[in-house]
Amino acid sequence: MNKHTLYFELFSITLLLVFGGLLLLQGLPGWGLITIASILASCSVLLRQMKREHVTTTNPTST
Amino acid sequence: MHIDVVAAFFLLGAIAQLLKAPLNMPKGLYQSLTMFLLIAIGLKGGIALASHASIEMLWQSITILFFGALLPFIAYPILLKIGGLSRVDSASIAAHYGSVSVATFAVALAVLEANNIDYEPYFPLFVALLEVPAIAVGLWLARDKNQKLNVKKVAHEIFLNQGVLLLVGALFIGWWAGERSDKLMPFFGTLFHGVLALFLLEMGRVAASRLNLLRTYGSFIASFGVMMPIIGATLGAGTAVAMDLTVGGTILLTTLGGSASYIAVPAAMAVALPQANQSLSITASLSVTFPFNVLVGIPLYSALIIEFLA
Repeated sequence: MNKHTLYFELFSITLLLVFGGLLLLQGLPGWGLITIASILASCSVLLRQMKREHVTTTNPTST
Repeated sequence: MHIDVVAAFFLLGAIAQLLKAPLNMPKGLYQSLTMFLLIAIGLKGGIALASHASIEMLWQSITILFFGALLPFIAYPILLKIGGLSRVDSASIAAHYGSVSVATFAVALAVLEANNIDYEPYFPLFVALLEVPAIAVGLWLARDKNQKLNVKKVAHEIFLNQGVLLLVGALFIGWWAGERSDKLMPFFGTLFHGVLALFLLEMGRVAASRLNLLRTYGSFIASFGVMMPIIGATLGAGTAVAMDLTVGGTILLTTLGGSASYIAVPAAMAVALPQANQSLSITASLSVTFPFNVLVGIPLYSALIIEFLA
């Protein structure tokens, strides 16, 4: 996973949160986007952590 | 607008799978439900086509073809440059996102009918038209001068796969028979919502069963599977406004723009681009984009369009 993917994910999560918040302020259904942003954020953190652990386990010298 | 009752069955199927509940639908039944939905949508559109055919519809169809061809050109650079995927995988996934999902369309139809929102009744014609151009663009993006493409075999998969064949076939039968098709409608019309609920129950199970593949493919594909529908839906809404469609028609084209194929395109890509990672494309379209559209996208698109256009 390169830096571009991280920036893309951060951009997506931020956009969904902002758009979801704006919708809620307008009295429109924004909770869905906020929930999706939270799921994407958790997914991003967990999968990166798993990958880091996998690299450390398979190649202990990398750290 | 809330989650529709049929979409709740999708959620039930997904939860059952995540809890490892023994919910198994026979494969034959799932295929029969798919065939039922394709015929029901095509037939209904064909009957409407018999009384609505016009020059304006021809122009709308041409616009729809251009719209379908445009989407892969947006998805491709995101996957290639940002996602760092290979050229072939990027082109294959871009084709999936340029094409459409008939199941997502069926859910949007169910929502419109449940809320008594009018739409252009010949819309299934647009669904059939949107299936094809993205595949051609995807193959063009993945082209390799050294590799020979079996055009006959690829064309066979593009035009004669189950989805396109049944949808277009039923559309023609409905168009040809007109009101004589009414005697079929107690079956294909009245049962539509119930069959869709059963179909979504299985879809929820299948989508959830593929979620663990995200561990292999990484979180980028999950973000892409949510962002691309939003981009496609926004463009779909813009195109619908430019085409002067009704509120219901705008919701349908927005939904189609945001949907991704998981039946027609995988079949064509398996033949035309065997080196592409089919599992990656299907995981993105089926396990991320389809649930997003059914549970969040369609209620959101409907609410926004009704708020700003109605």
